Amino acid sequence: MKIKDGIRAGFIALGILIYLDLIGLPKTFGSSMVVTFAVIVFLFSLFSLRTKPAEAPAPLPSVLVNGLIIGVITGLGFALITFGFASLQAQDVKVTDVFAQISHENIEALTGVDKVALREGQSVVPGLTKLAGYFILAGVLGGVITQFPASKVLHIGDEEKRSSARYWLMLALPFLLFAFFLALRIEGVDIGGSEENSFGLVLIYACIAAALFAVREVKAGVHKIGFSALIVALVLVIPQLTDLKQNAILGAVMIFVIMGIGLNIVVGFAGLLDLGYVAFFAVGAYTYALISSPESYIVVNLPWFEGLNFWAGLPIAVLLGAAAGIMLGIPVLRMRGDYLAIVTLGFGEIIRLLLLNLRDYTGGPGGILEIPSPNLFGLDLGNPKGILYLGMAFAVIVTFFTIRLRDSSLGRAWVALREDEDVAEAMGINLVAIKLMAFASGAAFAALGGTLYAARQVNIFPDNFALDVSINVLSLIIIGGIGSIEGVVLGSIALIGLPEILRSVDEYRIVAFGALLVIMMILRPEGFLPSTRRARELHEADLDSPAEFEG
Amino acid sequence: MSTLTQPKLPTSERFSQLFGKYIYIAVGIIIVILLIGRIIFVARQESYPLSYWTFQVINGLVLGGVYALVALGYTLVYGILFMINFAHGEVLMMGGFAGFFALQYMTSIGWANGTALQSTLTIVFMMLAGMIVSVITGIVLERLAYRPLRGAPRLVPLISAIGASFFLQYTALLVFGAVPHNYRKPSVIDGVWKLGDSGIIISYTGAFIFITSILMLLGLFIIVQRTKMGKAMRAVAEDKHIAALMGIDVNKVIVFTFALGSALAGAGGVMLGLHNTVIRFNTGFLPGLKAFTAAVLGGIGNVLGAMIGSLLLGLLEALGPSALGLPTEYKDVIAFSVLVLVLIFRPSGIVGEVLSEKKA
Repeated sequence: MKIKDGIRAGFIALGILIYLDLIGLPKTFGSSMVVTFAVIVFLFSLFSLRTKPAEAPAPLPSVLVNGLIIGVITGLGFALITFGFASLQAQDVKVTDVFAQISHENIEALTGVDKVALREGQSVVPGLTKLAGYFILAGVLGGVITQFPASKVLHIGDEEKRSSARYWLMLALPFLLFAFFLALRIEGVDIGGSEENSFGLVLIYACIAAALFAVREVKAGVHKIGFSALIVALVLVIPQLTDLKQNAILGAVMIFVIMGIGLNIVVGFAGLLDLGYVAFFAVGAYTYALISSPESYIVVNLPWFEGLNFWAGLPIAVLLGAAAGIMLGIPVLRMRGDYLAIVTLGFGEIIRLLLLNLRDYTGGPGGILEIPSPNLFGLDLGNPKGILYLGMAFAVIVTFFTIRLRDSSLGRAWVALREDEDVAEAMGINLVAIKLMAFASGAAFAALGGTLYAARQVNIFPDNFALDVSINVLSLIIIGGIGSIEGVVLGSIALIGLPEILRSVDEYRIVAFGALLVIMMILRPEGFLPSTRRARELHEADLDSPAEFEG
Repeated sequence: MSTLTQPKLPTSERFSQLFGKYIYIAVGIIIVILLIGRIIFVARQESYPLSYWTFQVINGLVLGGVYALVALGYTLVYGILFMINFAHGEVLMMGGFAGFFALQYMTSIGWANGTALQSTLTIVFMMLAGMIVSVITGIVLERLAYRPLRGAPRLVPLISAIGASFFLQYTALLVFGAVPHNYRKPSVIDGVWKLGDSGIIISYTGAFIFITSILMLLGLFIIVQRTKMGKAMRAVAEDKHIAALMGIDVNKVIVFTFALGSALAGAGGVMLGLHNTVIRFNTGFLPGLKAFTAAVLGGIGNVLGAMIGSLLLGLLEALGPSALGLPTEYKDVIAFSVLVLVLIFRPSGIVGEVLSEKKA
């Protein structure tokens, strides 16, 4: 552990803190920001100073000095910058013209000096001294903690010993979390206060995520069947216990699960990077809207046509989606990798621009309104609970098809295509047919999701079908685990479900996605719950050849 | 690695078998006939005055000049790393913001609208600020998001680039705010020439953008063709391993390439700001995509191709909607359609043939 390392770590940490300051975290967190920042410094110091398992532990003085350096650099640096901003504001220079988030609230959160006091010339130095003190303390503390044996826990990825107690705990965890959720509903138990609903939903998410991990680990045979049955029962009962808002959020998650499974066929199985996936989602939604809504162009202009109901519209939308998949697939048959990505992205944008500009047919920016909601044997499914159940049913059907496709000869042909197009062709695989099949089935699932979305939203607008839907779906399959269906569910919960609750951090969602994509690609390109095959492929490179020109 | 870069014969052969050998030519001819028919039809119905067309041509050339600056960044990086730097449009946007703040500062001290010399210096200062910030962004991007992934499967760096693109875009949204920032043109380029009574108007800004971008492209051409670093770049583009054996510092060359491409993008960002008079967090996205289209149109990996493709795309975009009798909102549709058509009928681009064969 050299002094240089500490200085380097200190400046990196300072950079991160300044970044968080500029994107406006202090405004959101208020007075708890100083402590939050100090915790970040502490964690950073802890992780950058910890000794790796193979190394000899660093001597205490050197660790302490480095911790101190990290604390001093972050503390002084950050205090100086805040002081600069505060004095600019005290002179009535409008900092927000350049840095939109460095407002009075920002300074108040960091120094405790409010707008009026700042104007009257109250010094921010005491507040900043406190801040710097916290940071220095946090840095040193991080260094001290590394000396305790317990910090070895941080070595993620060490040999894990799976004891039987651990095994049973893992299987029980989903049910424990669910029990916790139930306990919240008992009269008089109050944990989250006004945030109780969100807290309950987080518990549901954790419960499902734990179930996903457990399903992987459970032993085959009776264990597996029994466990799966229990999980299914649990999932079926959840919508009955959650309230309206929670069901609405879970419904949105289900729509993305359906789309994720579809995109997984195209990207995960066949290896065709499709960035215009939202096009098929839009085709599904607009098809259903056009043939069902009393406001739509078709229904208005055909006197004898009164619009179809959900169950008649669904197959048409799905078939048209598949047809759109083939139509967009044919021109791109010859393209690979990056070219394909850009062209599909272009297609996605073309579809959105057409929806926006073909005013006569799609209603332009005004969208299509009053889309009928589904009902089943007289039972109205137009409420969040109904949509959620419907989404679950569709997800199960889609999953079933996907698994059957994956294990068929078509699925194996897709894998061959992904691995090496030329070799696959030499083996006698009809590339045209299987590529079009991949596009068609992916598009059909997206159209299914789109139809459900249109029925859920009642009114749809071109803005609902912008590029970020494609990016969301792609991110969730990549972060969840490419090629695996559990991964899609996990990704949907993490990327669609969580941000829905954490409204206050919603604006940071896409920034976090972007950073997460980069970090995942570097650290764990296969995602959290990958298919075993995909994980092996992505790490093949590590075994064969060391990364070239690393430096 | 290089064997993966170009669409190869077998697939297309199979495709041809399925749809008949001359299907491409036939479909191509049909599309061309349909387009020409539409243009004649529209031309007979409504006639814009000549000044309108000249205005659009000038507009197209100006846009094409900006696209060329950005397209070169794609082409240079693609030529060397065989990856699409998806975040290049965001590099442009960062440069645009830097130029905007430089302009704000110069306006506040009164230089932007001061004497001709002060005003010119303002523009130089803006361009420098934009280029420096873009270069920093580009180098950091390469270091953090792309370098650790060199040698990974091709999907991996592309996804990382998409992530970086969104990260930068929404960082700009959060840091600089969602409101559009308005460029107020420095006095020296604020104005128009009127050519006699013909009604033809050339704005100073347009002329400035076009001339500057041509000069910068010339400069780049000289760097790539005449300097030692340019030689090293071409060597690395040809074969990284052999170049390394020849004593070329491959990492350094790659960083230099990113810096060069980013500098051009930064200048492009400032010019785009002056042209559109407004900059936002998502300003870079569409021009980035269009510039990529232009690079593909000319033949990706080919410097001259990127320039020709950009000018062509700028003209198509400016003239297309009017010639086809469509509202101008369809210009983006036209640009993307061009991309799709080029990739279908001539994936190697207009002048890309020689180079692509070498790489394939």
